[in-house]
Amino acid sequence: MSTALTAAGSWRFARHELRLWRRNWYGSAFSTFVAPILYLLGIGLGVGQLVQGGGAAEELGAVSYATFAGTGVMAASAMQTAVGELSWPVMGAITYTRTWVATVATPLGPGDVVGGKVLLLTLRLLATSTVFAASLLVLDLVDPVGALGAIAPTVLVGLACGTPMFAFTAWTTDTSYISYVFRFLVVPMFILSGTFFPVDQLPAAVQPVAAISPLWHGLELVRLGALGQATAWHPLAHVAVLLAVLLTGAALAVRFLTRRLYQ
Amino acid sequence: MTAEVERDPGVGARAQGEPLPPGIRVLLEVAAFAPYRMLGVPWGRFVVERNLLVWRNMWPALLSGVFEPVLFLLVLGVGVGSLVDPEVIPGGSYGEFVAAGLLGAAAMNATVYETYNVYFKLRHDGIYDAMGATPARPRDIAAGEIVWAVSRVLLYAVGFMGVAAALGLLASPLALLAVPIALLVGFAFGSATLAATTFMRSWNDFDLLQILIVPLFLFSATFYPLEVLPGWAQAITWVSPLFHGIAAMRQVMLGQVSWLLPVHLAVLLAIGWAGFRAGAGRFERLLRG
Repeated sequence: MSTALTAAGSWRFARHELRLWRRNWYGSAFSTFVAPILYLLGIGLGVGQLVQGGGAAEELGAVSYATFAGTGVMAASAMQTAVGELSWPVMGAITYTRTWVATVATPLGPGDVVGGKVLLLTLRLLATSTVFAASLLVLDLVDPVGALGAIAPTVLVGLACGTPMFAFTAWTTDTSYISYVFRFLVVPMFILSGTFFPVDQLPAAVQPVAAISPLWHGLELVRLGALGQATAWHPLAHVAVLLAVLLTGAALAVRFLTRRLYQ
Repeated sequence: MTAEVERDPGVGARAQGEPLPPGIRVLLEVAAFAPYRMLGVPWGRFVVERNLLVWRNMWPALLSGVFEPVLFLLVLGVGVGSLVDPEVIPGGSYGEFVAAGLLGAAAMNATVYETYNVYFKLRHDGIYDAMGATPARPRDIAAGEIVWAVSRVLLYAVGFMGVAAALGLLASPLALLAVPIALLVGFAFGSATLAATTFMRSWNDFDLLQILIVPLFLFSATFYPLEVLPGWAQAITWVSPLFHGIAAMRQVMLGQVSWLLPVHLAVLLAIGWAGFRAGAGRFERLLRG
């Protein structure tokens, strides 16, 4: 038994899942590629028409509502992809199909499972955020430099939201807790972190809560990369927060997964 | 006519321990059975009862479903509402306007959550096969599950309207009618998604359901008036069943009722009835076959 996370082991694990994806890719293609773009069109351009006449661009940092919400949805959908990928499927592999119990009976260990999952998620986030950035570019909501600049922070925010979810799913044995996390953490984060409107539109008492949301930190960086907007904290401080969350989540995930798979 | 009533005293009487006076009991039983009899599915009630028993220890999970639409209402009403140009919204604040859209979406989503349960019961749980050993026929089971989905909508609609009223977002006393309209939306989507579920081959296929639900949620004049769209997009929106639900709700919630109201309601009713017939037929094939 080895809990060490090795590059070779992670790649071996990732290769296994990539083989599965070859058959089941259509199950997630819509939710990862198309749905975010529909949100962009529906909310960004639709609600944007209601906002434009009101001259609200000032509050949004001198950009159109569609640009503001578009970059918001880009980061938020990275979060959704990450927590989706590292919740129910993880529970399934531990409890229902018990695939990972078989995995750790091979030379691979829980560390490789976590490493492999994070590697796969990174690939997937790269693919989805590239498609999304290209859509923003085609709709003329960002310039080419902004489209490129938005990709890396989007991948980072996805990973930082994903690994804590991984740790939580590896820890809990009660599936209804996962539903509660979605309902009471993920959905509020989705709409309260500055996705659809700036955080300073919230009541003053609620505003500091945004700072504990990884999505808020990520959005500051995405809007810096895409639009050159000034960030609330120093950009490196946002990066540091996200990296800390990411690494803590991954470390806890290895720890809890070890306990679950060898019990 | 009371033969089935006598055969089973019903869960109400059992749970209370002390039996009600016989006259009242018969009346309650007749009232509880009457709608199912009229629809030709007298045993549907027991499917609803079973769901009630199954969920009785999980009611927090059931109730927490109201949290999401309420949060959207607070946030969109306040957050996005303050950005919106007030002149674009006919006759009310953005909060009042978007409340109808969110209630309609909540009614649709409540039934979609329920389809995952129906799929599990149909393909994995085997509970419908067990029900086959009772006098319940497949169509009773289908009807019971639809009524259960609509009950869930009732729960969320009442919770949502309570919050909307507390926030002062209900412009007219007619707004109370939005609750029965939500039930009609629940009937339309509960039936249609039940029928769709019988065609699912694996959990992967639920993504195909999402391919329908997400565009309906976003493009049914949920977040903005139909009039801001170009003509061709307005025409497409009319195809959306959710649009008819939201349009009807919006009319009563803003107190601007038009001659189109019965049209919207008729569309929902027709979809619900067609969905029920199709779903019941599929249940018949899958469970008897």
